Amino acid sequence: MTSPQPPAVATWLLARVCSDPGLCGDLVEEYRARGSKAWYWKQALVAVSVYPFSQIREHKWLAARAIATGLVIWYVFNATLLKGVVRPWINLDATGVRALYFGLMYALWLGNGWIIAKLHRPYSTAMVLAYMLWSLVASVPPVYALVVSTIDGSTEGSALAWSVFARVATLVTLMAGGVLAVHRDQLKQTRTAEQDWPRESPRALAG
Amino acid sequence: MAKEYLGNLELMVLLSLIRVGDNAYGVPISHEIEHRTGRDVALGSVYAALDRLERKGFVTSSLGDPTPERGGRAKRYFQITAKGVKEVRDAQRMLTNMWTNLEVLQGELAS
Repeated sequence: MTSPQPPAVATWLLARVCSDPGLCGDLVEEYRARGSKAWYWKQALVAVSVYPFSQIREHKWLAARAIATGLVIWYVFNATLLKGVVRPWINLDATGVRALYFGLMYALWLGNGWIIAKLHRPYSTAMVLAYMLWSLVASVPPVYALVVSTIDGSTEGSALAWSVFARVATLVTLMAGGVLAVHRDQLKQTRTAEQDWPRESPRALAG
Repeated sequence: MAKEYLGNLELMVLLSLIRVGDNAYGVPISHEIEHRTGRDVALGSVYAALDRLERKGFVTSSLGDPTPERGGRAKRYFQITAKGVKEVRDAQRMLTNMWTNLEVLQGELAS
């Protein structure tokens, strides 16, 4: 008889956000003893919400470095190259050019999350989250100004909706970059372990 | 550097770690807390507390071998350090001093 497998999505989420084999293994062990998917999901959600924030609190200087890294990447690529150099040369009224421009912008955000994650191992996800939180806080004044101008009628509601959507998409893309970097690291580790195994296995030694 | 004091959960985790003894890892530690306090603690919260305790130098941890029962993942074993034991003693002394001669609580116990 095979042991019951815990919910795959919750396990995937745990592996990307917590990356502590002890915690992930303990949850699998307990799930097999209890057999409750609801319990596993609850534990996974608590872990992914508590663990990264705890890591940010414990490694404040690393979080500050992650924020500084994200800011430098944003300033060089998004603010200077994309908005300062590329944008004046293109016509954003054309749908194709507009799609390409925004595609490039979000690709840069994806790359930003990826680089932060790569430079801040083993706390990759937590450090990307730190930069996300900073970006969220930095978004408050411009969004607040838009809300005020929408209320007094000087700006259309669609501008506010677009601004909020673009900022949420930016945060999601940043985290996606971080999660992809963690996922790739874990795939690499698995491949390395698989390559090492035949050399160390008794069967390989006997051969 | 300012002295770092133990939080409520951190103290419970350290006491459970002492009770479980050798081969203490997340599952028996959380079971011990649930058994002794009647509180349902999330494993993620226990690990977050253990990480803080490790950074403060009150516990150390080491990884065991991966096992199939745990989906190929290793157990992370925790041991309390001498500094951790001293911290628990200090916490006990401080709390006992705070509890001593509290008439309100004695009245509650008497009634």
